Amino acid sequence: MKQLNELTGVVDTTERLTFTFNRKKYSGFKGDTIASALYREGVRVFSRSFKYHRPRGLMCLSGSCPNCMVNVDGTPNLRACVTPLEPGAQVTSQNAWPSPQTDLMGFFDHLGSFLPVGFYYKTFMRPKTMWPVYEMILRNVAGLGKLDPRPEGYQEIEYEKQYRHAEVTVVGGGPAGMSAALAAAGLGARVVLIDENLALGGHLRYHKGDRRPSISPIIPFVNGEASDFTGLARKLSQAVYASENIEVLLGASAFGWYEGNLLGVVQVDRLIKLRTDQLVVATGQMEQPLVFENNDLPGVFLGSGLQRLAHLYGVKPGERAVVVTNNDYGWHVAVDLLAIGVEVSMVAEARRQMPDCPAAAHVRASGVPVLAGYTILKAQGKSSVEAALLIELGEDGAPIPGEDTPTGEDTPGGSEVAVACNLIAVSMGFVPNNALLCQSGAQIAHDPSLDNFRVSSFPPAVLGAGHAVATDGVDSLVLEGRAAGLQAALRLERLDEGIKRQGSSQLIDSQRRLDRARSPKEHQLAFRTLASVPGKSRKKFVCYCEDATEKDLRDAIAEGFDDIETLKRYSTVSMGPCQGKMCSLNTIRVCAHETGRSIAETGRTTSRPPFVPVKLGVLAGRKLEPTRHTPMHHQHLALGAKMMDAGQWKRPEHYGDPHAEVLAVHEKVGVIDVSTLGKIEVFGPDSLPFLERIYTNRFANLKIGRIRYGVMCTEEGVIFDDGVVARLGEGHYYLTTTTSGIGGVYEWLTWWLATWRLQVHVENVTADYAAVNLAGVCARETLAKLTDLDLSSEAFPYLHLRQTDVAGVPTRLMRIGFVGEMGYEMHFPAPYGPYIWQALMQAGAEFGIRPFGVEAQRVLRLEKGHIIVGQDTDALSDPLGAGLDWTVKLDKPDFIGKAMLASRKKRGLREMLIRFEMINPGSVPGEGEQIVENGRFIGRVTSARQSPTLEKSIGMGWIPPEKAAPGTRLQVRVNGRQEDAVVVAAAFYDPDGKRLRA
Amino acid sequence: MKENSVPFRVSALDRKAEHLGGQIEQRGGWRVAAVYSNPETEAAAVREGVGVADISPMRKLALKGKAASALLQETFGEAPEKVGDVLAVEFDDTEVLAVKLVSDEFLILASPGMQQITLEYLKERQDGRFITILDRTAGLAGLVVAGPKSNLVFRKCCALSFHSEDFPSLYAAQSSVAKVRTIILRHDRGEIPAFELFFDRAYAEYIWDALMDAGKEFGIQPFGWQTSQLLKK
Repeated sequence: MKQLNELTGVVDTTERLTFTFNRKKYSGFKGDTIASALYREGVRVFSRSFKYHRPRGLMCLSGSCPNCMVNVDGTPNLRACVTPLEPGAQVTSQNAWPSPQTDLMGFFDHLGSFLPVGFYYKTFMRPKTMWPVYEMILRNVAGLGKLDPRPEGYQEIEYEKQYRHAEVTVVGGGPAGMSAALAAAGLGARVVLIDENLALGGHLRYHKGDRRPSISPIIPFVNGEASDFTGLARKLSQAVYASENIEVLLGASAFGWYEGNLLGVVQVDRLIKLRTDQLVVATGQMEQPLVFENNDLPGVFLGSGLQRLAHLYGVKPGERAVVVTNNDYGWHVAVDLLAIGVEVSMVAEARRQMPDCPAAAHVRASGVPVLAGYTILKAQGKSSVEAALLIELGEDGAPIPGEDTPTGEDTPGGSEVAVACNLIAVSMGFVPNNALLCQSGAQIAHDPSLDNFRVSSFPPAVLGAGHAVATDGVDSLVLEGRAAGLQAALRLERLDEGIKRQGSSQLIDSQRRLDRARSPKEHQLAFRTLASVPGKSRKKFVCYCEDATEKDLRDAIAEGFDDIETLKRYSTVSMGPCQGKMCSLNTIRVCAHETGRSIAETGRTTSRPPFVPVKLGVLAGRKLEPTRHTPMHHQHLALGAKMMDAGQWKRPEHYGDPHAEVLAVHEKVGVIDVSTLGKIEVFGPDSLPFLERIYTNRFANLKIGRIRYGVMCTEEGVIFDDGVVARLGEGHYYLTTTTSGIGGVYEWLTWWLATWRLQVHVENVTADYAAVNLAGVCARETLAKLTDLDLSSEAFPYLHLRQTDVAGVPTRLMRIGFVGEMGYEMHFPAPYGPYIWQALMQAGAEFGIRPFGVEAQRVLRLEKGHIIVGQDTDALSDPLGAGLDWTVKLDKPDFIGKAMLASRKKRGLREMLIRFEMINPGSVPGEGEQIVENGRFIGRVTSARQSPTLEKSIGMGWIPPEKAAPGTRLQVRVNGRQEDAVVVAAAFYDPDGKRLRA
Repeated sequence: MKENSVPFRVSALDRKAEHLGGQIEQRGGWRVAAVYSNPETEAAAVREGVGVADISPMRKLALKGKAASALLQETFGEAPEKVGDVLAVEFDDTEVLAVKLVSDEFLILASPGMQQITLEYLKERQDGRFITILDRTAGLAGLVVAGPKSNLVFRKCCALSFHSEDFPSLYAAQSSVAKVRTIILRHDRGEIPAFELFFDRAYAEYIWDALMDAGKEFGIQPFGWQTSQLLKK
């Protein structure tokens, strides 16, 4: 163990961390991932597969495959291989019961014949009534973990959203990415460097290579030689961290490229929206699995997965290994396995000619048996690898059958060799990780010489470098990264000419050196294409996420889904958590083989974000729900108000007894905070024609100091909002709107203003003014204590406005009465809100003043028969039907909605808003209840309350005009019963308005 | 006025200041937090990290109209040219800022006690031109977020870039801060980056909480007007 740890420098063996897996206690080291710790402790089966419940173990160690998905502290679907180990973590396996080792659902593995590709499209349809049962069973059997909203020890996760900005963003912290970042930063660009790992270095951290990198002398930002790949990684990362222009984001995955050069990045529980001028994609490459029988058996690893396990975490992955490869990389894996004490029982090299690389020479010199022209036919074992069955390949790539074995049979024969082992390292080549490039619109084409996809052209503002664009060889990676970084920086407009000249010269130098470095390549590109080993077995998995096998793909193609896009959708291959990282290339190859098309003709599926899993919580981010408080908010709280939401506003619903508040207004004096009302000022010489077009009413005859109720309609003649209009002076009006309507009204006014091009300015002053409504028989006496103004009805009549001081504060006093009693609506600068409220409460104390809330206001206005737009009206309500026909002046030259209202008046009304009272005074229908006739729906209740004043149940509702005559009997549904009600002619309270005008 | 009391103005953040232990004083008719701990400590916290202070009492005059720019030129001798430009002018050793918000809209910012630049002063110079001049002091709450880590706080609640090259001192922008439309003005206190935010006062407590939450990990501290005076020096 000690020796292994010295290899890594990542895991700190002096700090031991304990955690649980399936309630059993384990320990690991600081720096471990959950997977590395569990594997070191002997755990081999991490999960069960999606469909067949097959045991799955570690394979890629890079977060690419779904085989190690676990639930960590209540969060499902985390990949154990890239989730850092935290002390006390509670880890549980998924999709297995009672344990991943012994899963009772494992019998599904034997039902493959009954679960062909697309079976779910064809079954569970009949009988229809059984679907809930099917659904329950399917949900229990299949799935990707369960979300427990309140697991034991639940702590709310603090998600966060961040906005960042960069001139050059480099995704990928390997040699190409670091070089790109350093080059761009060297020209003064502000660079963000993103890497999904917790350390920079990319593959240099775990892949040792077989010769000293030659690049260091030609890179100005690397001092001295790098003795090996790790040394190069260290030198590059030191230079990165020393640069003031580079900001490094580790443990961060760029999951999508969006319009406007927006890069979506997820960093643990943080979403970063990164705007960048230039993007350099240096995301490396992904090793691809081989499709053979039981290729998902625990113990079958990707070669790079084993390297990561050994070099990053110091874990010896097994005792006896078979290495299966078709390229030089596999030989490096064999070298690494030998170095950490694993017995390499065999190297199966698909190429018939042995490669001439130092790693291969080293392996052979170590006495490791080698089979050239061989590959693996099958991994043998029940729940983990016990042996590898190797088979010889013919010139055409097909296995050569044994003399006693028919072609394609999966039993050992003449050419098959069974090798006992507990580890199979599969190293069959890489695919560029170019998802971001694809999303950005880069043109990707198949290169037959590489049997891989490479970029043929980049879109503006995007560049690629390194393995992500199918470049190989560490010198080339560094030089290409440098060139891309320079190019990206040179595209920045703000760089001065001197810097640009310097950068251009560096770029020419880099490209010249890159051309030289590319030939000869460090790794021979000679390889033998091999995606799938022929054979009839069902257990040859192409897509590990969806348990889709090669046979599934063949069957789907046979059913007609022979286009790569339809094949994807039908088979769901590449649609699971790994998003095609492990299966995309092999699917294309299988499809091409089955259809007889070339890879280029077969094409590839569209890459869409997110490329890595992103939690919905991360997308939601922090809870930012804007809330608005009136200036008197804290005084309401101090008075014991029960607050309610009114849009974004917090308003007092009541102060304990809404009925007592109603009676206080009628009998004494009450005060309500109406600061939430929308308030708009209109200025300008064209104000009057503007308002005449906006409102249905006429304002030409509104004198200065007068107020008029007004209704706005849409072009369809539907009520849009209402409020009062006060004329403050020449070309100066003050408008109020409903609390919820202000945003829409302000937009409406400015929109029409822009259309009509009038000399008018419209200002939303809602927040500038606090407002209260002082109402009741003692309102005048109360206010008289705070102002010198003559408040008599003669001097200050109903529907008039005065601008005066109240308690020394400049105030707009309006005599209006929404709540049906004589009162004053007072509007004054918001910062005086607490002072005025306090002054009113003190002045009204001798009269028994009482604050009242929204509930009392609703009762009071209902008693008076006043409507609330949005409550008593909807998207079809017009003022003619709502009893507001007196506000509609069709003889005006024009106003918004006039044509429709004129037409509607001519045609007659479809329904009318009526007031009704229940015969049973204790029966209050709910808002929205039906009004019926002989059991049939004829209308709906919009408002209903118990009136403590009238001791009746009263309400409003829409019904056909022929039923609207006063005295007409109606039936209203109340809690499922039909109860009698009667239409009432006018307001329930003070119908002739004497109290209001008093 | 018959009752014997003196009107006072209250910032929308008055209760927040009280709750955080701010020493409340009356200045220019406003209740304001003078200090939370002591000015030197608060100033040090701002210089090293990030602090937030209520500047709602600042006078805010809004000018709208095609002739508004001419009025500013007549008043200050010049006017901000481009949208986002901020003009700083000295009047009796007191700084007045004029911000160009959009093509024909400006915001003038002055200290609460400023005698010269008032609503009346500007209206007198309107000279019949169609310019709407409004005192938005009551309707716009103000906060200043100052300190070298202020950009880190904004990263969490605003999509703009707060880097000095993108958002230099004496530059303004309108954007959403924690989903609330806000005028953001950078007005550094010497070497200390400082961003002044002006927004609908009804959102003041919400914005305060959002900034404090975003700045928690950077040790954000409230500071009072006494500290503001220190930072100006």
